[in-house]
Amino acid sequence: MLLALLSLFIGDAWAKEKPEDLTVFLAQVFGEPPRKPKMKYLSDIERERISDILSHSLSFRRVRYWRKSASSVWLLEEVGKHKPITAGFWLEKGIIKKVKVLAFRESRGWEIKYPYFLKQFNGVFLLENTVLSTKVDGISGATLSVRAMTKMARIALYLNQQVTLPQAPQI
Amino acid sequence: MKTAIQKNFFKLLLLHRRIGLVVIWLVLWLAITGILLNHSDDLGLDEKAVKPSWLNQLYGLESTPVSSGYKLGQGWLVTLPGAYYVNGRLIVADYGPLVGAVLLKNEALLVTSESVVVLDQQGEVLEIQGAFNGLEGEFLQVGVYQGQPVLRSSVGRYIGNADVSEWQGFSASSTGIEWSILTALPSDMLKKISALENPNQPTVSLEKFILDLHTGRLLGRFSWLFIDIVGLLLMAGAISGFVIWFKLKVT
Repeated sequence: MLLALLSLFIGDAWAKEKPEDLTVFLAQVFGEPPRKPKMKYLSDIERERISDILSHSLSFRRVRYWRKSASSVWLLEEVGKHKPITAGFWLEKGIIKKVKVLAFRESRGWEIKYPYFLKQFNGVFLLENTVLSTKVDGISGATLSVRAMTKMARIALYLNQQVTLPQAPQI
Repeated sequence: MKTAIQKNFFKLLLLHRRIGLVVIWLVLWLAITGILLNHSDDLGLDEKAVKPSWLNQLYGLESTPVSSGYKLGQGWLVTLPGAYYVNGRLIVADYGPLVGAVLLKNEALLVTSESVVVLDQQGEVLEIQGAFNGLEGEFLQVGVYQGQPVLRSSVGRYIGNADVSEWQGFSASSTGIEWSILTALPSDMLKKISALENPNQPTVSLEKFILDLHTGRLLGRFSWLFIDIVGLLLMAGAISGFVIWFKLKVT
């Protein structure tokens, strides 16, 4: 009984990849069956900048994103403590509209999946030096996961600037 | 002529002396290791690794020597603890058990049971693919079919496009697919691999080793019995010493 109750609480938190979550997220953004993703190949300068954001060397050279007019969705991954967190970032005109955690593989820090945390990113944009316009409050016990999400948000906004520079908000 | 009391007292003295002779070494052992542990941070014991292979064997860290790998173009891909290497060069950190690797026109694929690692011609990671790229199930095999990558997973087969940006279901016959197969390494490669200093090889810190010496855990599953005996001997030595002192004082 106890195990069943426990599985109800932690089962979803430990869930791995669910491709349908991405499909639903994309449909929510673009209102239609998901289109083919575009591929952003990173230049050396972009790689350097992203490495600075991550505070470690970059482990990828291309990033997938979906784009239609001013809306774009970026699919990013960053390690929380030991395992990568996969998240989708919906951006509109250089501002985060919605964030969704698509796969959380760690055993701790799963609180970042919940709307009360993710809502903090809504309306956030990038200031100079790839700093977020709003400070994201942490969650005790989920510091590394929060840090990974914040870094991914900065990367999504930065990459969006690189592909849609004229639409970046004027500060 | 010695009385019975004197005889018993003499026996107690002998027992105390023998206990002392045994316990003195154990006390020294506990004291030295205890002092070292007390100053572990200052001495940087947690950063020093103990390297003898017999010790790593004792901790179950001795890895079995690599004897096979996957042919990747002119090179060989092997798994060493914590990372994958091509011809002795570290390519990428561990993403799970390797199931194969293939070389394409501009990219190389390194496939583990959970991920498809796409590498460029320089061996740098372009992308890590998985369920969000339409690849489902546990990956079992990778191969090449007419220049395109083919992946076999527990739920089906997939074929990728030329730059491995997209995958789709593949139902054609297996004929013509060149699967990546685990093969015995040639002798020159074996030598090269065995000479590698693997930075990811797990090691035991000196602090851990001394702690296990201090607690007796290094002696294995019966360490508790040994430590119990040491404790009993210490108690026996203390009690016999007190009794001797008391009798000498009274008499």
